Amino acid sequence: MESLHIEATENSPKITMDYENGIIEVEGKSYPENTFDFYAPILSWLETYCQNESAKQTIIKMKLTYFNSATSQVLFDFFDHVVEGELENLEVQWYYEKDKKGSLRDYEDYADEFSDLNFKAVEF
Amino acid sequence: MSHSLYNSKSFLQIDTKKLCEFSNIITEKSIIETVKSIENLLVNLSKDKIDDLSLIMIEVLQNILNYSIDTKDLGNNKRESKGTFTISAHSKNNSFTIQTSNIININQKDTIIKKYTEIKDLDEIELRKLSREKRRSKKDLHEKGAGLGFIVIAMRVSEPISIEFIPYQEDNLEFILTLHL
Repeated sequence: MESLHIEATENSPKITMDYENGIIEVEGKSYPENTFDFYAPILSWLETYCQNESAKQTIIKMKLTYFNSATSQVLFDFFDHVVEGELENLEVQWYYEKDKKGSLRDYEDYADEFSDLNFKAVEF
Repeated sequence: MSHSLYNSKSFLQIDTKKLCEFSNIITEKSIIETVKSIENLLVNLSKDKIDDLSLIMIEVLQNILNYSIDTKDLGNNKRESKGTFTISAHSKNNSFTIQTSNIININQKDTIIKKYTEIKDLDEIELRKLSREKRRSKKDLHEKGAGLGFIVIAMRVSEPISIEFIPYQEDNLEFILTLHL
């Protein structure tokens, strides 16, 4: 399985999906016009990663500064895949900005919704 | 009742001073430019406020692309439509008024009212709960639905969302959204 890298644009995040080291990172703003199309290859990669023998440890780093409502839906799909994948030694690092109310609220919502995953809040 | 805004100019102003004007053609690029203008011209605001304002503009402008009767498919997954918007900052109380205007088919009125009615009396905790339910059920996934977008907006405004419909040629309506934050 190959790693997947997508560079950031002005309205879409940088994506790093490093198969060998088990690092999955989403960083930046996310409001592409066709959000579902943008994330389709990412969800597909994640599904395959979860089905295959993954790395010994997986760290998911969510470093989204803000995201549109369509992205918030896609993130549910994203974490559904992770839950179904039953990855061993998984850690989800959700980066938040202390002085932004919405940032912590997002962490709380996803951590609570996907309480089986090992969510950790990390300050930017 | 508001007067028509559809043929007005789109702009960002502080009190009565216009800082910039925008094109009335809404595209992905114009949405990015709007967000950049907010970030660059309203530098004295807190990050929280800038993000709230940016997110609201992203949602309302993407909704214009999703809903407008005149939205054109430009190919390569790009679209454009005509829409007007104003962002007015009020320095006295550090607040904003946003107004948007676009043309929709009369058949969409009931859908918008239904989604609006669902959220208009909810407090922040109830809005968060509903937002999670909608994301979980994926009801609006891949569909043109302002359900989640409306919730994102409602969680960030300081006064209830105001919507109006003004008759506009044959079976169409001008949809005017007014927001305060």
